[in-house]
Amino acid sequence: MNRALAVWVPDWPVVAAAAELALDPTAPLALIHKGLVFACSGAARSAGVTRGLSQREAQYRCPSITVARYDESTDARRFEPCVRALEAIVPGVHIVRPGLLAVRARGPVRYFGSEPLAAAAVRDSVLACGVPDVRVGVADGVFTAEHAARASTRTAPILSVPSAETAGFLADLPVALVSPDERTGTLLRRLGVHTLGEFAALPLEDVRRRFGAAGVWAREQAAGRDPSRLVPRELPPEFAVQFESDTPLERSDEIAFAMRSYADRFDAQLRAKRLVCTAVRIELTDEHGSEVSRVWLHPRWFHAADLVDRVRWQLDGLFRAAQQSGADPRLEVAEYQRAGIVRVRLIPERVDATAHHESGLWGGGPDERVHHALARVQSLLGPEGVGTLERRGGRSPAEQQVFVPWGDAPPPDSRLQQPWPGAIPGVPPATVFPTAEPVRLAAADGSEIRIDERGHLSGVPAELQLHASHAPRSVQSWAGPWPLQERWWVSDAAPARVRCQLIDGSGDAWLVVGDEQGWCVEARYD
Amino acid sequence: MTLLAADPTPAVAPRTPPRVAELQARINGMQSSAPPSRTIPTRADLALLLPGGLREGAIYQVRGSTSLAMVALAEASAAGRWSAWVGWPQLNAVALTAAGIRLDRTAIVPNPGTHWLGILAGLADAMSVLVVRPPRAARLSPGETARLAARLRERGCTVLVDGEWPGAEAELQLEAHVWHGLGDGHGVLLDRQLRVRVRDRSGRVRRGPVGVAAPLGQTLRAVPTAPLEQSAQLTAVDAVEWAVSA
Repeated sequence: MNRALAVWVPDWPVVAAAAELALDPTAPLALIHKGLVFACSGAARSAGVTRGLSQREAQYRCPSITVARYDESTDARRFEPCVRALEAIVPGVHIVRPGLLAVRARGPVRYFGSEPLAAAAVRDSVLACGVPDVRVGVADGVFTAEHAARASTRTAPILSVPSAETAGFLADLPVALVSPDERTGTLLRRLGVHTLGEFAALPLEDVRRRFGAAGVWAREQAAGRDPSRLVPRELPPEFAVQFESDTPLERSDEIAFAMRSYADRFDAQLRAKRLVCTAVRIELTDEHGSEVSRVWLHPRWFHAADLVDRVRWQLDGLFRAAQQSGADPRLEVAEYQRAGIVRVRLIPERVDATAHHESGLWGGGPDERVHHALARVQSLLGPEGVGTLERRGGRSPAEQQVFVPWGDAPPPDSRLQQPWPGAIPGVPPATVFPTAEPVRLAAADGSEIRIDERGHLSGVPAELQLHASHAPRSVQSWAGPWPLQERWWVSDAAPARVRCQLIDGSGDAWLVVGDEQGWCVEARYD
Repeated sequence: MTLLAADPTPAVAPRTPPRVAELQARINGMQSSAPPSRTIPTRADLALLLPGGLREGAIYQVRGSTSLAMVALAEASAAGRWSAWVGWPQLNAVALTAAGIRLDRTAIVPNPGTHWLGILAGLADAMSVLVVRPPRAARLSPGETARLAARLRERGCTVLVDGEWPGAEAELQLEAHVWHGLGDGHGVLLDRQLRVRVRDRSGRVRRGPVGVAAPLGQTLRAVPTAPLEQSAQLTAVDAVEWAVSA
């Protein structure tokens, strides 16, 4: 029969997150996903925290708990060394999910001599990566092996279920483990089927009629006849390119120049496999060992020259940030320049088949020309130099848009469909000042217009002075004040403000916003 | 012979069937038409002031109004042509959309700095319309402008300049706004019209109104209400209801 060996790391998400955030995995720790506890450490569990609890409830049950956001990519990335460690002794490793691996038992058993010896060898190899606890289960099929690993204890971390006992071992487990979705699980419980044993005892034809193919699959699993096959992962080829310099390099153009041949190699390697890179991670390491990494996206794919550009931009940003930080800029720059860059790594984050990006027989059409033109502007002005505007939800005109640099993904959550009470309807202003400019708004008698705590104006606006050096403009017509209350639930939020629309004597229209400090012009209808 | 005598064909039969005549008329029409007018799609009310519309590869001065520039390229953008705004850090995406401009086909170069002429020449290769606000201190030699103009003509890229440009095809100047909807302490700006004066190369001046589309719709219902007094409030709501029904 198809014996499988499952390697399970208990509470893997917690172990990974603790390593990522440098937390103590033995302290109470909970990972939150969509507001609910996704995983928690042993200490938290003994305080009564369980999976599926709301964050607040978990904090109530265990006040000393540390809460972190669950991050799927951390989970997978941190698991990679364990996979490699296992692959070093056993080929054909199947990653069920981060934290759970499966291999076909036949090969290791024959090599190591027996099931317990093979399991112990596998366990030792994964333990060597610094994981606190590893459990191994050996049984018929991946499903049974996984639950055998879960049924093992800290003192007896290896559990082997003989083929004859498979059905008996599974019989007492809850039926929810095999139900294809939550609805089926609930339905089965309502029908009085609580355990896998009871489910497996149902006639096959009845299960097929009631639950279809997915139900038959689940029943086979429940009976210990795991229909799923082991799919060993294919080793990802190594495309990352690393540039190392013996002397720390301190200037971005120096590094960019040195990177050129490495970028060419990176490009050539991918092309040899008929792949193109659409997202790249660039890691910069300075001589003190601190590392800065960033992912760059490309609207099409990276050529070697694009890669060199991205390296240069990242370095420029790094040097600028170093200059701006610190009280004494000169010292900081000198300090930073001594910390030159010694290593640059290019890692493809996302690759795609060349066939998807092949240009047509008559060229790639106008959009490719557009891309080349904009990319050239970007290489002159930097990544923020050119982009597109995206609309998003907001109350003030400046909030209603966001500038997306060319090649970046637009921010996912635009909240455009939400109502935004307080947004000004009607004609949108053509010019929006990124930072509101202070102006003077006065009544007919020349006194500045004030706003009381109820949002009423102290007079009728009659004069608008845009700048101290400008002559005041007379106000022809106006409307308002429209109150704008935002973030009143935050204690240090801006005080309530009001907005007015004005048309001045020359026919120009303005949107002004006022608070206790005075008035600012937010936008112009020009 | 009786058959011949009974022939119902009229004595004066048309020489060619109507279908052939129609096709011939179409051929004649196509032959007689002027060489294809190389213009970009232009809004009808603006095309009245610029006979034929905005020409490909020409430079226009658009002065005094961002909205006027938006109106000028709106139709071309809606038709799927790419446009770029060079030197505009203060554009409003909502106004662009309201004028009918497609944001996904509009590139913005907020601050081109000293490279602006080179960027212009580079973008001319790929873009259909460029809207340019030259830096204040920009000084161009006649040679540079002539070279750029030649390149634009070659590529068929229309440029709208907010500023001085020697040898522009025409000058579009905003004379006045006509506002609707705003009263004295009540209402909200609901609609507008631009009074535009166009002076072409030969010095001929045309004047006319150009509308700027405003997005009427559900956003209008969300008028915030806290004006000075009750009567003003009522007027504001009336104005909005009028706009929604209109």
